[in-house]
Amino acid sequence: MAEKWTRRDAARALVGVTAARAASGGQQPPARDLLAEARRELKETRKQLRQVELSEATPPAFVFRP
Amino acid sequence: MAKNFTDDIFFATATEISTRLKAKEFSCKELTKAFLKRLETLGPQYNALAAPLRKRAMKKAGDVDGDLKIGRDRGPLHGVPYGAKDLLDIKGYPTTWGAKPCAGRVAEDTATVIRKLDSAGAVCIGKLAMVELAGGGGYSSPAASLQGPGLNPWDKTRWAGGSSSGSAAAVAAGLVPFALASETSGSILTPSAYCGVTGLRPTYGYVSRYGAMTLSWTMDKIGPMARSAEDCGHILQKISGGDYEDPLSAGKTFYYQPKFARDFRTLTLGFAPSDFDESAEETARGALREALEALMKMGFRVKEVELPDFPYGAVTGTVIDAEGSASFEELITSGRVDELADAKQIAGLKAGLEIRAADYLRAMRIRRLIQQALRELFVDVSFLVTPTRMGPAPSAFEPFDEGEKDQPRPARRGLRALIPAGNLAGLPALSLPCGFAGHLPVAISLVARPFWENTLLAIGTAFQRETDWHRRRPPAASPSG
Repeated sequence: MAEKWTRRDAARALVGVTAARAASGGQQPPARDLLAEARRELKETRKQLRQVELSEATPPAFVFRP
Repeated sequence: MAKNFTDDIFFATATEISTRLKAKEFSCKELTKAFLKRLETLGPQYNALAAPLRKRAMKKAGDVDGDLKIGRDRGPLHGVPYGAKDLLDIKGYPTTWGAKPCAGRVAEDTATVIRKLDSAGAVCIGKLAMVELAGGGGYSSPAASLQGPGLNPWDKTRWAGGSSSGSAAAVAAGLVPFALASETSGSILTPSAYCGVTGLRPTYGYVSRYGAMTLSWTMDKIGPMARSAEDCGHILQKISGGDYEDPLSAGKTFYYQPKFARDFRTLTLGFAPSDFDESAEETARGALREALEALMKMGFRVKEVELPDFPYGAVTGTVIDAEGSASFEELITSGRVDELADAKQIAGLKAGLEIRAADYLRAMRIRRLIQQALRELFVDVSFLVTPTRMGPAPSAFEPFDEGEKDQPRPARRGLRALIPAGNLAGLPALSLPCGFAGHLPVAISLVARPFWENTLLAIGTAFQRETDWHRRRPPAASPSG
């Protein structure tokens, strides 16, 4: 049986996220711009990955053991 | 009459607490009550507490007292309170993953690690705050958490580190003797370093992730944060082991064997001078160099090394973003992802769904090359030493990239990328507090080949016999602080 903090936790969620947003500097840039930025970063990352010579390298085994 | 506990208990190691408990200096119920009060009072001051588990903890503590009464000893964690990062499930209790859209999530089963610690008689007294979704998608500031920015007990204007912010802050402030944390790429090591606690990232596959939030199936690891390397050894022994519920488990159990450590004269320490001279921030250099010198005096052979040249950041980013966005796909496509606190993270998670299979596989193929290259590196050296982070904790209230923009990039590679590299290769790492930059802790990390935890812990324990950095207490960690 859960202790009586589920509702309190939900309330804290609202307070916490509001405070977190305020602490992060108030107004955030529109999400659309950030998405475009994230896509640009992916493109840049892809470029970096393409610079590595792979030759015959396979991915690690699916059941990955070091 | 209520037992009066003082800092000598709140800042004692798990092993010391267990010894005093078994000597009947106090009961487990008294001990648990005292730690609960402290966690509930001080935890919110550091934004470290996700939820106390008072009723469950007091019931477990009663069971421990019953055990001790009949002389049943479950080992060095028996009766010791601890906290768990809020991505570990406990049946019937909410596990929020530090994220608002998951705040109402109630666990249907109990994580294997919690079950194992239950069997060892350890008492979970609370869930500890974390960066939302363990930072999946890439967050832009410490504020990316349901509880707000994790505040550092050494200075509440500084960040506790992430993503296991609450775990590190709670151990540092003496709110729990140890905590469970998790690392995908840096989430145990970074907060351990910033908060001045000892953190162990186990070899990938040593510890079951069943019942833990998934950020990356091929990179997530669960490990302890504690007051000493010795405690980390005891905790890892209790939480490791094969588990059919985690298909990527290595099927191995760790046995902590401090008495059978290798002769240090047969081991080679690898380090890169540039890490300590160029890469480290100026305020941290003195402490980091002294720590390196202290290690060098322990009798190891010494060799200068450098990480092989790979785009570690790009590979780590691609693997974690692709797997993370796949893991949180339902959250993203339902639109609930927009309830997260960090707008950059929201965008990153959405973009992660667009990573092409060919790019993910290319990253995984490079990862294989990285694993091979690191295996070759460990032919010549037994373990690597590097600053865990190049400087102390940053501000808790500013975005990360501010201030870092103008930093010149060091000319030499050194071992600077050892956090992503070590995580990609699944290597174990131990972060040890090693001094201060001003009033803030800094730390060094020891990294070795897979399953070499006993060697790392032996070196860590020897270092902690020679130094007392792991015994330092933050000045603010008192009820009035």
